[in-house]
Amino acid sequence: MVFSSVSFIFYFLPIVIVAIYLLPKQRNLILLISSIFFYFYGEKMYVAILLFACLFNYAFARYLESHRSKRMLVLGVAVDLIALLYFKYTAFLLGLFNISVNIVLPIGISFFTFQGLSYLCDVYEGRVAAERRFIDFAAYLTMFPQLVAGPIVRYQDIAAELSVFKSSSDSFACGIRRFIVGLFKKLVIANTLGELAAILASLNEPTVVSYWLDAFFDALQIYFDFSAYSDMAIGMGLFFGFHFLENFNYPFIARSIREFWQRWHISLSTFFKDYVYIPLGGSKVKISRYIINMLIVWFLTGFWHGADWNFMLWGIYFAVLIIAEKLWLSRWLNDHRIFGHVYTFVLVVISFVIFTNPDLDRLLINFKGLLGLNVPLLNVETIYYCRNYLPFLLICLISATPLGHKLYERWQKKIGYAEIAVLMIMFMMAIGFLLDESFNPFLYFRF
Amino acid sequence: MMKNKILITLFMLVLIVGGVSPFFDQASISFSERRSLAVFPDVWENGNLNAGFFDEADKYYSDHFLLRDEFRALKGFVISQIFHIGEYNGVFMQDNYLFKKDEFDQKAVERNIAIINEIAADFNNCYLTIIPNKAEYARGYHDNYDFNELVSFINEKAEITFIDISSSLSLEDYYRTDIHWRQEQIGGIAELLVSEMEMSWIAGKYENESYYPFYGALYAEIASSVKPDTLVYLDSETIKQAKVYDLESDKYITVYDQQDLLSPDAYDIFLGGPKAYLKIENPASKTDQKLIIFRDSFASSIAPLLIESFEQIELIDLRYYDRSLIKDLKLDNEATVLFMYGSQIINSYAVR
Repeated sequence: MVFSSVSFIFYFLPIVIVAIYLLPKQRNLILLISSIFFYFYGEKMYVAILLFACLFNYAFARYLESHRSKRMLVLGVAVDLIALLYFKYTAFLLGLFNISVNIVLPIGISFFTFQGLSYLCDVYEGRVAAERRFIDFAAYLTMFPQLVAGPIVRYQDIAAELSVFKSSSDSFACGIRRFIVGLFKKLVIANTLGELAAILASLNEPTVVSYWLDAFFDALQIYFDFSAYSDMAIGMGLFFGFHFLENFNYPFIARSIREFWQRWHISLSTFFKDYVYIPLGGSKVKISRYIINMLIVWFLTGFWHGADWNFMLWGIYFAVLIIAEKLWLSRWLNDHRIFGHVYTFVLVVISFVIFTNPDLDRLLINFKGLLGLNVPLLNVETIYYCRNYLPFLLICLISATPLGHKLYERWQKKIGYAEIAVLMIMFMMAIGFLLDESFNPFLYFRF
Repeated sequence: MMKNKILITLFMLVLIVGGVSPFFDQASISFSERRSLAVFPDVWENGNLNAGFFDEADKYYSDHFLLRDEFRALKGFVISQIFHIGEYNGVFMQDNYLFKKDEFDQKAVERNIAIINEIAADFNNCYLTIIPNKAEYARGYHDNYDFNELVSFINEKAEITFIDISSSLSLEDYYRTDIHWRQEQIGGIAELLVSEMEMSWIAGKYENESYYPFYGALYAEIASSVKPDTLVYLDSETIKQAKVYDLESDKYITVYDQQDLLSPDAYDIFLGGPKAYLKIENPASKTDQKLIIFRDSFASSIAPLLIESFEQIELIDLRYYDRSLIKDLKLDNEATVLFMYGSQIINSYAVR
C-alpha cells in the first residue's frame, strides 16, 4: 500500500484515525495492528521479518541494558543487520563471482533495520531506557507513517509520546497541513517531473541542453518525491500524537555540499554521523584519519542506498567534495555566496545523474552528454521541449526554496480562513492527479 | 481554534465521502475514457484467496470515485493552465483542441507504399490519398513534421495517382478531442475525391443528427479541461436504404446504428467501427459506378457521403484483413480503387 493511493487515503487512514480517537488508550495497539496490516498488504510473508525485528530488538535491548558489553552490542547489531545484508546485498556480492540470484528486497527494510540499530546503540550508551512494554516498542518500530521510507525516527525522540497520547485539534490540523502539502508535492509535482524526465531521457536526438534539463528534472523529482513522503509521515505522526523531526530543510538552497547534507535526508545523515562517524573519531583526528573516516561513512551512505556500483560511486563522490570543502574550499564558499549556491546546485544535480544510472555504460553516455562530447548543444526538438517545460521547471525550482513557506508564515494570520480554501484546492488537485494515475510508488521505497 | 476545527471537519468529510462514493457508482463504462470500468474483485478465487484483491480493489475505488471526470479535468487544467505544459503524455492542447503528434517514419511509409503498389498492380484505376494529422493545421504550437515532406516522399515512391486533399482541410474540419475529421465538414472532400477520380458526383440531401457529449480518443489519453465534441452524422433516405454487408459477422448491418453511440467509442456510429470488410450497395443508385476503398477509420465517416454517387462501395481494412486473402474477395479489377489512410497509419506498421 502506498500513501498516494485511494485505498490508503480514503480507507486505511480514516479507519485508523477514527479507531484511535474512539479508543485513545489503545492508540499504540491500534497503531501496531494497523501497521502490521499495512506492511502485510504490500509485502505479505515478509511481515515476518518485521515482526522478528520487533521481538529481537525489544528483548535484546532489555538484556543489553543489564548486561552492557561491547561484545553484546556487536552481536545485537550483527543480528539486526543479517536480514538487511541478505536481502539487499547478497545478489550484488554473488554477482561479483558471476552468480546470478533473484532476491526480492522487502520494502522499508533499510529504514526499520536502522531504527532497530539506533535503539540498541542508544540503550547501550544509556541515552534511553529499554522499553518495558512490548506493544509500545513494536508500535514505534512498525509505525506505518515512517515504516517504509523514513524519516529514521530515534526511539529517544518519541519515547515520551509513546507512553502518553496527547492530542489536540491544533496538532491534528498541523498534521493535515503537512499531509496535504506532502500529497500535493508527490502527486502534482513529483509525478509530473518524473513523466517529463522520462520523455527527456528518450529523445531521438538528445542535446547538451536536454541532458542538463533531464538531470534537473531527475534531481527535483527525487527531492519532491522523498520530501513529500517525509511531509506526509510527519503529518500523520501529528495525527497520532507524535512529533517526528524534520527530514528535509530546503536542501537546494545550500551553499556547500556539507550544508546540503545538513538539509537533505537529515535523519540518515545524522544517523551515520552519530553511530559511525563520531565513534570513528569524527573530525577530531589527524587529517589522514579524517579522510579515511569520511570515505568509510560516505561509502556506507552510498551503499545503504543500493547494492550497485553507482551508489558507491555516489557516496565517494560526496566524500571527495566534503573533504575538499573542509580542507580548502570552505572559507572561499562562505565569502562567495552566489557561487556557493550555483556550485552546490550543479554538483548535486550531477550527483543525481550518478544516483539514477546503475548501468555504468549509460552513466558514461549521460556524462558525455552533459559535457557536450559528440553531442550538439541544441536542436529544434530540444527547443520545443524547453518551451513546453521551462515554466514548470521554474515553478518547481521556486517551490524547492523557502520562499513559499516564508510567504505562508507572513500571511497565515492575514489570510485567515482563506487558508482552508487554499489547502482544500491543493487537496482536490492532488486527488485529480491521483485518480488519473495508475501506480505511483515513492522512489525511496526501493531502499 | 475555530479555523483548525473547520479544517479537520472538511478533511475528514472529504475522506469519508470519497471512501463511500465508489460503492454508490453503478456505471460500467466511462465514455470520457472510452473504456470499461473496473468491477469490484472477489475475495476468493477458485477456493483460494485472490492474491490480486487489494490491487484490483484499488482500481475499482479509483474508477468509481465521485466526480472522477471532473477531477481528471482539474488535472488537465493544472497541467495546461498553471504549469503551462504544452505537451503531456504525447498529446498537446491548444485553443481548446487536443493534438497528438506523429513521427514521419520513412521506412514505414516506404513499406506501406510498396504494399499499395503491389495491390494496385491488379487494378486498372487506382488513387491514393492521405488525411493529414490535424496537428498539421496547428503549426506554430509544436514541431510536428511538415506534411509536404510526407507528400513529396509518397510521390517519389507511389506508382499510382496521389490526390492531395490537405489544402482543402482546416483545423475546424476535425474533432477537438479526436484524431478524426467531422463528417458534417467533409462533404467537399468527398466531392473533390470523386472528381479527381474522374467519376460523376451526385450530391445528397442530408439531415443532421447529433450526439453530445462525444469524448474522442485524445480526450481519453489525457486528463483535459477541453470540452467534449458534438458528433454529427448525416442521414438521408439513400443512406437508410443502403444495404451494408459485414463479412466478419456475415450479416447485413446499417450505415448508422444508434446503439454504437452508447459504446466507449461513439465514432463507431459510422459503419459500426473497425471492420475488416464491408460492402455497401445502393439500391437507388442512379449510376453503375463502383468504388473499392482500402482504408482505415477515416473512411468510415466519408463513405456514407459517397453512397449517393456509387452503386457499390467495398471497404477493406488491411489492419484486420490479411492482404494475402484479397483474391478471395473476387474484387472487380475494372472498379476504381482508392487507398485512403490517415498520416498516423501510413507512418506505422499497422497494415498487415
